[in-house]
Amino acid sequence: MNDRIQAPLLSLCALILFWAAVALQSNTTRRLERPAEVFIEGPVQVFLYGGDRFLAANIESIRAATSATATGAEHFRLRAHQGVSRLNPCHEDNYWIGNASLSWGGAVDGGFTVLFNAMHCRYWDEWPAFFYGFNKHFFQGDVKDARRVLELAAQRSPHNTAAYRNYSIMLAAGEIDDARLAVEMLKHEQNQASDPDLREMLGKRVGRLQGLVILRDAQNTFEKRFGPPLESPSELLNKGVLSRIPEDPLGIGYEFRDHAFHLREIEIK
Amino acid sequence: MFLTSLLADFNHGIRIALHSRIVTTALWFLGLLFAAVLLASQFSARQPATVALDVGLSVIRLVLPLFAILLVQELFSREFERKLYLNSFTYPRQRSYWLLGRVAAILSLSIALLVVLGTSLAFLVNIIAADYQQATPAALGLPYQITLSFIAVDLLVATAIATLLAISASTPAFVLIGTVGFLLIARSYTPIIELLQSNPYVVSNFADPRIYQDSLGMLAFLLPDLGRLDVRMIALYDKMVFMPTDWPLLLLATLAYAASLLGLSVWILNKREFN
Repeated sequence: MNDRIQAPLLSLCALILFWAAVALQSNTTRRLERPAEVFIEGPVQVFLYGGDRFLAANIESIRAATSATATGAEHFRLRAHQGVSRLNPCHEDNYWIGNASLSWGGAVDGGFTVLFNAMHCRYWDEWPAFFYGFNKHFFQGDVKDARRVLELAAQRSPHNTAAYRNYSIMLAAGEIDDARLAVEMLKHEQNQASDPDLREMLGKRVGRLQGLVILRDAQNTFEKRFGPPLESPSELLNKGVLSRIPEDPLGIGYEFRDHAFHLREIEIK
Repeated sequence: MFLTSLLADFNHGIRIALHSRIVTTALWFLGLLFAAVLLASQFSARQPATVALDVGLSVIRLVLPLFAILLVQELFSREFERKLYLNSFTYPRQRSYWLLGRVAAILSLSIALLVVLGTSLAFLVNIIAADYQQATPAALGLPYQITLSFIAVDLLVATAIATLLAISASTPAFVLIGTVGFLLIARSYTPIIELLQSNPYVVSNFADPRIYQDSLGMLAFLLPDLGRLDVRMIALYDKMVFMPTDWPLLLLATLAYAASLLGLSVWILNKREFN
């Protein structure tokens, strides 16, 4: 054999042997379970992105937003949105999508962290403060804290000051049908969104809230018609107020506690 | 005498650089900036112009030191590799002029690229901003110019460390590895300390996180704080509040660090024996 082709040929044969050996290895050892959903902690990311926390925040925010509709990525989204809110708490996309994705997707505490950081960093922005106040009342029933933060939103807002104060007063008087209001709010956000993925993500959350509205309306009807407060959701079915319990498009479901229906929260591992 | 000699070396340095493939490299970097900025802005729902500016500044901060390193390799390492100094150092003049003249040439070319990239980025951000009305628009005026000036100071340190490595090391590859490593640590230690404060249990569930913060904090006496020189938030959100309150001291410290590195380079070059 010619000396000139001997070495490259040997090299090629060895390479083929290498590929064959790799292909024969079992797949499980080489593959991460869900490679797209691994979140690396902030300090390590800063180092990986050349000391640039803003670049890390942008890339992670894009990853979180593109997985907004993926099922099974809830924990990744939770960690990613919270991670970005530490890398760059002022990131607008992160708190906006994070609020819709986390707070209305069953991860209420994670949503609060993201909104809290954004509210402090974006000291001029009314929206994180409004979302925070709204969620405080809706998820935790904390009227006092909700009103405090709504006043903050009112002071920051150039156009909506009166609307926020009005809302705050209605909260104090207990005159708010907050589930219906939340449906309207999410629908409004959905109409504003241009990205189809984001629209789909918001659409599912609207569906979930509409289920809650149906349940609460049914409870009202039941209590008006039969008198005593509802003790168990199954009574609604037994007495024929509801033909079936509405289905949550996110698959998380609803819960009945303290004689009222709520959105169930996901358990964080 | 000093100025004319320096100017001669400066001109010579610029000519050598332009004869190499440095213009092609600059064009590649420009293309990379366009691609990264246009792609990133597509992924933003609420603030495409801000994300475009943000990612653009990140790209500029990544490619400019590489550009400066390539120039240092071209103007210093190659000189020693090919023993061109036999020619350069025979003139009746001091080695320090040769060094400082060429450093000035490297800095001028890098800053020229910074201006080109910065202007292109402003142009791109303007186009993207015309498409979508943001609640908080990005600032392309004075805050943007301040951000770019701080990047130029960062670049000065990168050039100074690359020069020192090129003068003292014998292989050109070490200039690249050493400078990139130095910049990586100098740029990341402040953000890492800040992030550890908000999330200390990344390091360990058992040890006291303050130990790591203290030892990382000691780095401030060894390395310039390039992480805090990144003042882009003033431009991203158009709020001068995000400017570090002690920015004059920060600038002074960084400039002094670069000056000491350059002084060390002159000293080593004067002591170095060529045969």
